[in-house]
Amino acid sequence: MSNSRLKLSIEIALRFLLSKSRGNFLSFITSISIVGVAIGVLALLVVTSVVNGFENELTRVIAGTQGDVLFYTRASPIRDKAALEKKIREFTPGIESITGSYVSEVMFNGPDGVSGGALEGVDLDTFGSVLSVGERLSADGALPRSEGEMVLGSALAEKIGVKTGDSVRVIIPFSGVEEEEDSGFGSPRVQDFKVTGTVHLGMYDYDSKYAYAPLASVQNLIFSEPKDYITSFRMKLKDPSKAQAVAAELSRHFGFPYRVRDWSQLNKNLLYAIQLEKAVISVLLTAIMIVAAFNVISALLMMVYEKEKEIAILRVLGIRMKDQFWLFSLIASFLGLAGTVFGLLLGMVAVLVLRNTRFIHLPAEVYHLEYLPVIIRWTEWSAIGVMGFLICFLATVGPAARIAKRSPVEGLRWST
Amino acid sequence: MEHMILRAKNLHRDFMKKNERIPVVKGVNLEIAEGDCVAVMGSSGAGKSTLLHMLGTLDRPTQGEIHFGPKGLNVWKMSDEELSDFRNRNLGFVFQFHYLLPEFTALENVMMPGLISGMPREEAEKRASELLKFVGLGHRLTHKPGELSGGEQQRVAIARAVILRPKLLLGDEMTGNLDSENSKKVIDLLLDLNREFGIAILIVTHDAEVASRMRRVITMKDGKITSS
Repeated sequence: MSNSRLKLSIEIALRFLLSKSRGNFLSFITSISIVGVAIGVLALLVVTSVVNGFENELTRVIAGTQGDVLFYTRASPIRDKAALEKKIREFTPGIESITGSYVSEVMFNGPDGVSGGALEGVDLDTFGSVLSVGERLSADGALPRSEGEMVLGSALAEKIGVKTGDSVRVIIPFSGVEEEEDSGFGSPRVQDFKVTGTVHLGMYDYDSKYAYAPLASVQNLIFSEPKDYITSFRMKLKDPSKAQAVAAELSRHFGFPYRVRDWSQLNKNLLYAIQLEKAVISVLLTAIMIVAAFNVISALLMMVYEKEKEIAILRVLGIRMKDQFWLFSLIASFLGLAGTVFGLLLGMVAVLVLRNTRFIHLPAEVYHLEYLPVIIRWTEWSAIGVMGFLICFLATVGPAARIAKRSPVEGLRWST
Repeated sequence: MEHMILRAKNLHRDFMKKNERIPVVKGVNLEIAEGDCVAVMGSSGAGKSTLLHMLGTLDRPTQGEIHFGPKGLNVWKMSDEELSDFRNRNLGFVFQFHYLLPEFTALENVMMPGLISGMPREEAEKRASELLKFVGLGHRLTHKPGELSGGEQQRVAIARAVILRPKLLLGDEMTGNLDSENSKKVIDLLLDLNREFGIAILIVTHDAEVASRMRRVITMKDGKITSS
């Protein structure tokens, strides 16, 4: 199609669409078709932005609890943590901060019962720069500062019936196992800890499992003599998006007994489920767009019906069948484009309102969040925009081709 | 010797209605020479408009051939693109109802065949403006069809039909909607165009007065030419 023909088709399509002489009903149908597409685009944008928000929130929780990269031993504890830390830092230039901790599976015993969980002995000087546990403390809580103190995950605390200021009995079923590989199982150890606060990490799995105490406290509980051993390093990276690459690089350098995981590997199933959910929702909402595209077809057919004689005379004057097809496709495309742009604008307003006013309140005990989090990803917005437009265009290709094939005489014969 | 611009041989056109074949044009032979002025007369249903549509390449004959120009070009062997271009450059049409595009001004309506042919906008505008002055509508260039009288609309339609100086102008009951004064003006204009630019004219009418102003009158009855 030559440029001049395309320009003429665009001009005619726009005049037809913007004509003031068009009937009210046709204007109504046209508006409905635009609104239909806009609603489809709006729904897709808002839902994907909210899913992104939840995904981001979850990522923050995982990275805030586990660190961007977790380096841990699968056998005996790390004895010379300074040397190992130095070695890790040599291989990982992108580390912002690193903290060593001793994680042990324990039993927590409270007034309401016993629950299994993980007691993490943390280095109070460094762990705040890697993990966000301290930011998620209950209002009446404080981080444990001395031996015999701990904070508990909120769900864990609730399960065993303790609150800030109460005492929790920690039972280690097999002590000393980590000390000497061939020493056999040590006798169980028991110690009471004072709860200095509860922590709401934002994910039930974590809230019902983790407790934090000073590193020395945990080491002393496990080993009969004071030993500065740890089981893992947690790292925060300058660029968290490189976590996977850093973990892979460290894995290459450190074989057994060490293992390295980035945050995304630690909750692979959950993150995969979210991705799957997002894909399913997108497919379902795309169906709305397809339905909306049928409205565009209706509007196009209505316009063809009303403009029958003008369309016929254009053919009489020498417009080619191909040009006429493009004319109809352009009309449908303009409707699709108007609906898509309108939907994008509405989506932008809706997402900004959600983000800035947080007017939708969620039950925090169910979702761990009191509002709908939203994250705008421009690549997704562009893809939705392009898809909205393409669906409208492709849906009308068939009808446009059929109408374009009509003989001009048909239009002249009946439109008197 | 006059050059033939159109030669129709044994034209037939049948329509199907509920599996029943209805012949509307039955074996018409017709020749039109350069600069000819022909009227086709006949009562309603005689097949005049169907014949005009076939001669104008808008409708394919069921049987028979139409050849254009000295080389006897058979248009029905052309592709849609070639046929559309042929129609655009060689034929002009004026109908009973003006069929102007209501969204475009008189000037833009007249420019339309030029723009379709790929003519530069400035040239199309210049030609259209001159033609509208020629048909006495130099003061109506920017008016939309809805702002013009019936006679003015038909004159705009005539200007549109001749902007590309076609070899043949086909008119279908073009004065059918006009009063006698406007009707006379329109026929005067056609004859002026015929004289000025040598455009051959073939009009379908059942108005004897209009027909009498053409040089040749053909009468049709029941799909056949009965006198020419």
